[in-house]
Amino acid sequence: MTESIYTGISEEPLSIQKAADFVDVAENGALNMFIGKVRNHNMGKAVNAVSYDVFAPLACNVFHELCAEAKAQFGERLRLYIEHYKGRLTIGGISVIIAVGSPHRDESFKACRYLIEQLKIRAPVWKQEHYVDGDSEWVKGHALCGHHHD
Amino acid sequence: MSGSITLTISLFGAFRPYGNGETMTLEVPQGVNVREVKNHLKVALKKARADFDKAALVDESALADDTQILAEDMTISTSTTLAILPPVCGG
Repeated sequence: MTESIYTGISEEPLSIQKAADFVDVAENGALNMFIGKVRNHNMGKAVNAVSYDVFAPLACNVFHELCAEAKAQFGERLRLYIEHYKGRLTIGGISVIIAVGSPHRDESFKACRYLIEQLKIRAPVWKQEHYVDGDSEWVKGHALCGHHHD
Repeated sequence: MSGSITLTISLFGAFRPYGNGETMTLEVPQGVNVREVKNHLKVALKKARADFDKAALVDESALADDTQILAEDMTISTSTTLAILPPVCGG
């Protein structure tokens, strides 16, 4: 069995095809994908670009944790792919790709939704919006918390 | 309690404009806990930039190493590199 999880941080444009190819194997009848893109507005302000900052080693560690949790909940036969962009993207640029391959559709939908929702609140990633009026602002997010390890 | 240790703090997100944009170096007492490191960091950031106004953001932020978020009461005994992580918003 080849490795069934891929996680990465990239400063190159993210590839939808690469993600699809990774999770698509003959045993699977379902392929589900979430693609995050830069939109041209937020909170009533016109946006022309977003810069993504990432703490890469911890982010990849968190991505692996999320994948392990998804497999435990939705099935060990899942194939999982998470890749996040680091750097500046203009409107329409792809910031994140999550792909899930599974034998049947139900677990692929559930796992894909689980991964993106958890990524948004647990992965050390930040975005700075650049507005059409020339201003820039770091987007407010979710506080991380640690647990004591003996 | 003995001497001091050196912590290199990697800056991310809204902290990027401070220090050199990458890291800040702190001299702190050996055995300091994470909560106390954040207090030292606030002082250092204010010293580096008089217009520093993100003390509340430091309080909301977590400290981490390359593998995990550190609990607030965790003590640090050796010089090392850590990261200050403001609230996250990936995706």
